[in-house]
Amino acid sequence: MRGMMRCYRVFTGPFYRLCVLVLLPLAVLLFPAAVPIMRDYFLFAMFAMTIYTAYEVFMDSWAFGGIARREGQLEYVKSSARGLMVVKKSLLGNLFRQALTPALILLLYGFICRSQIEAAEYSIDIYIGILDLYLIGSFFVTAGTTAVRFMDGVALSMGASTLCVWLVLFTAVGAMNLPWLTLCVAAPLCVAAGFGSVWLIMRRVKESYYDKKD
Amino acid sequence: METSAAIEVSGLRKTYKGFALDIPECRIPKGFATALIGENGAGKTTLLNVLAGIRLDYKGTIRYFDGQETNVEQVKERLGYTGPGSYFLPNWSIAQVEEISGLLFDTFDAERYHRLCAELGIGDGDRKKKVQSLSDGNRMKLTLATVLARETECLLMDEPASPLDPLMRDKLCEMIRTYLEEGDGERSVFFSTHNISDMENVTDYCMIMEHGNIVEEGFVEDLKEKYILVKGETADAAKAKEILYSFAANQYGFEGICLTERLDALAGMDIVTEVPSLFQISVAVMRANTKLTFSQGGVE
Repeated sequence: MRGMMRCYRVFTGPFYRLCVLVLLPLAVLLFPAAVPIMRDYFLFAMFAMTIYTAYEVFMDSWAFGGIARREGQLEYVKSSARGLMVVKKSLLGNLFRQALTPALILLLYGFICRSQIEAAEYSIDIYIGILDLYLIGSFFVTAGTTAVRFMDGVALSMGASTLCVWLVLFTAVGAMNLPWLTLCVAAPLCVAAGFGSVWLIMRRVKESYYDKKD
Repeated sequence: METSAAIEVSGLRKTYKGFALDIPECRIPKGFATALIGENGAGKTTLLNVLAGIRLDYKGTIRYFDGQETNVEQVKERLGYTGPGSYFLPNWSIAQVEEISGLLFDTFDAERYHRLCAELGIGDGDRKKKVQSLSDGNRMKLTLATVLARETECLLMDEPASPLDPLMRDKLCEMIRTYLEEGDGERSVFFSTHNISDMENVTDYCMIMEHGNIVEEGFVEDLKEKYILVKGETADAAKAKEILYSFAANQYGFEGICLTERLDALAGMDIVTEVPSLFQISVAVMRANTKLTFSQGGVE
């Protein structure tokens, strides 16, 4: 775990980490203070996962953008026998961090507003719905960041980010009436997408050691 | 001169989109600086990438450090590779390059890295400066700083002088000389270059490549004995053209490189001979093997 987080820290810059670990989660948590309607836990979860998707997909280009392009930009890393291991560990570290950040945002907000939540007497379906929102958001963040890693350029990252936000919203609204089914589908999909993303990126990095076949 | 080999290549073949790298045998001598010279597209970068273990799709055998090892993954710690273009991730800062170097290589020395960055004026002391904001020259200096901050036995450098200004090229030559001297015969440098004139004073051994093959190689002093620069009168130009390895003529006379063993064929002509520079030898050999056409001279 320590090696993984060290590799993650090395690949990402301090400003990127400050944004994704502190500033943006804090902005998301403080937003309901300015917009009272967002204080409803479910609505807050919808808002939080949408904003989280937007900034996470866009900002991934700051750390890992273009890493899966055949033209690589990883010659220095590849010149080391440990290069592939460092890349893989940094991707896994980022995956772990991406899973943890929105979970902490939602749990922290739940803790801060626990009295309100108790008073609202939400049904179990609402809590499952919030979990679904977390999984849907995480799935599209994984898909979006994977796509960004094949691209080079701010405009493409913004486009991917915007598309992912709309996909999260449409999927979340569509899944609202089937929280338990969504949970059963989204949970394994999310896990598969996460590890599948790392596998795909690593495959591309390994392929960059070979010339493209016609 | 019998020398041990930093790297030995046997039966190296690599084909890619109509290009074929074909080197039956090649030895990079240990303890010396070897220049790899060739036209654009000759295969220099491909060869360096294969030797550095960045390209793995090839046939043949490569032996490192007097044949001790054939698996490049086992020797990457002892090799220092520098390349042009996409070497670092563009959003990395100078400080991040230091951090990742510590992760990638056991012998990376952060203090030496700081000293080299200061010595080479990289980023004007601003360690938060990103690679993408550095000029090509500063990016190459950063590449040199990372590789020289490690304990290595062989540097593989792909056109290290190209983006550098003349003063920095001189500094690069000084750094290569210091690297070899400190190695006491155990370190080697293998670099490709188009800046033959600038790099000649640090070059001990030379390989000239054309179309994926090594067409000439040898110690520079031996090549300067093998080839000779001949200058003569216009009247003898036509006859000299058939003998010279490379040939150029104007209204005042002709000039060309000749194999020393063929100098006798020029007997009777009013000529002067000079020791050619490595640049002149390289151009002559490349002209003899190129597919480019020239308006005058060249070997028929």
